[in-house]
Amino acid sequence: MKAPSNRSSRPEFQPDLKSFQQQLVRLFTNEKERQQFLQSTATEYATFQNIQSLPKAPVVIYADLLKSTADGVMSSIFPAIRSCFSEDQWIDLLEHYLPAYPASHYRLNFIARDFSRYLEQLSPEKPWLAEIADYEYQELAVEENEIEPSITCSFTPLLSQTEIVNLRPLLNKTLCHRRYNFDVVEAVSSILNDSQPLMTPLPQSTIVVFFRDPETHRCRQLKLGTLAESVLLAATEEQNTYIHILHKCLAVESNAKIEDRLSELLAIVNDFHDANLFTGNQQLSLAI
Amino acid sequence: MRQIVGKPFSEIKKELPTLGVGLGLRREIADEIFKCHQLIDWLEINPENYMGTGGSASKRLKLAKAAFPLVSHGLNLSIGSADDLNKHYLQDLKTLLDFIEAPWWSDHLSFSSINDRYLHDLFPLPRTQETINHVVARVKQVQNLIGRPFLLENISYYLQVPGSPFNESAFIAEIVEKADCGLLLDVNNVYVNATNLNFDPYEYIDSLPLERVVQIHVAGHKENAGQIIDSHGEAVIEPVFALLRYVLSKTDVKGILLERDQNFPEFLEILLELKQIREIAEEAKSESAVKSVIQTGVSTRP
Repeated sequence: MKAPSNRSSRPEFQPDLKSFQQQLVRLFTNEKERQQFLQSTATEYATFQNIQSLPKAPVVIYADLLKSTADGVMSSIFPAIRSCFSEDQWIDLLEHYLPAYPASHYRLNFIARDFSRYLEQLSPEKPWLAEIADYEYQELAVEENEIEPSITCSFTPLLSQTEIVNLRPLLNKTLCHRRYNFDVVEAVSSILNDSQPLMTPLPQSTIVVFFRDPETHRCRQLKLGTLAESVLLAATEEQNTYIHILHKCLAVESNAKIEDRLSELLAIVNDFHDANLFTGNQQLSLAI
Repeated sequence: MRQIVGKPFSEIKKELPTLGVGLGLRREIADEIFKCHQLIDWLEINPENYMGTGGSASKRLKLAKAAFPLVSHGLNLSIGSADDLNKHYLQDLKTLLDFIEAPWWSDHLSFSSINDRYLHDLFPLPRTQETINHVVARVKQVQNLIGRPFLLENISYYLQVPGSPFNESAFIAEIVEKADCGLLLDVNNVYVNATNLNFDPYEYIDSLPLERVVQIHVAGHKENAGQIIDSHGEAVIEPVFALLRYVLSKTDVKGILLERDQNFPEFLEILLELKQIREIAEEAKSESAVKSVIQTGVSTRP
């Protein structure tokens, strides 16, 4: 029965059009419903007058086109994860993932953004899979980040005491910082570069920063030690000049001599600048 | 920006620039496109690839803008969806169109999202009066919001929605007439649909309001299990060129675009296809000039 025509500003036909589109999409995307539809006769599948009379072959064509698009996008974003599954397993995985996390954004690549979370829920006994997926997705997210990581000055190594006291580093605006429980960097490298099948990675705390190179526009990843991470975290606080950063990082537990640690910290700062993780300096005049 | 509000589309079309023969800007062939910019008149972009992104996509867009006139051809306006229009999408699109200074913009007569879920494919609509009213209202809404001339494209489809009282060309004609917008005629889609669904593509073209065609798409397709699939990944075949020739003999257009989205060949092959399209366009132009002379009895030659 149709809804009363005077109920709202929304036209009367809307529920029918909406219902048709919802059912059509379910047939295209839900394997179980599609199989039921394909095996049914018209009278057995009588939920909507148009849907029941649809020809069956086109439904399969659209379902295949959608699978092919999803496969293409997801395989290109997650090459390491893809290589962990057979063709059938992979397609099956996508067929379950996409309805669970429907694409709510108009950009095609965004269909990938919840895949790590999905794997985490799907395979809690293999937590490294979700971490590898996150690692692979960050590369795309950083490369497509709307913010531009412009370099504000050419860097020369910090020499004078005045510079150390008055300047603070500017961070690459596309910076993304992750702590993993497994060495995902090594795992992905061995899969992609050495064509090795994924071995269960050993638990190993791994700190990774992702950022976009302002010149090549490619995502770069740096694996950090705890001291380098402490430099980075201290640098994220806007009031911290280099001297504050060094001061904070010297407090990180270590058996090394203070002179050696200071040299190490300055080397880290220089490395961050060389890599464009720090993209310039800003003058601050704060008391030490 | 061109003022379009309140102006009939026939007037708007006259004022649109003639862009010539263009190519779809794709990341995989962008370097070659920029190198060969003298052989390509204009570029078409998929706005979804450039809305809200930075990095290499943004750089590519800026390079393209510096070297070519740009037009936007969207995939996710979802003009036929029963969902409300996505205002966030439209705002992002407007920003992009303003940046590229698009003389016009286009999307497909289809739906590609429902329940706020994007399917990233184009699905056919039931061809009913209700759908016509629905789409017309939405086209008017987006035209007002964007403020630039809008074209709807005929899609390729593999499913005839039962219970559709309108045939496809009548459905398209009703919508573009009532919404008073332009038409982007994809001659490869016409060929694909005519072959798969067994109708005469020339009769189909004749029944469209050709005076509203601003732009033409030309593309390749592939065969799969007895069906032709609109893949944009193969060379253009002669019957599709023939349809292009036919349309150009019937109406003048402002731009013809070659779509190549995957399975990229040597770039020379793409350039040769562009050359062929250009020859067809020039031939049609000469024929039109001759016809005009015959009809008016006045020679334009010195």
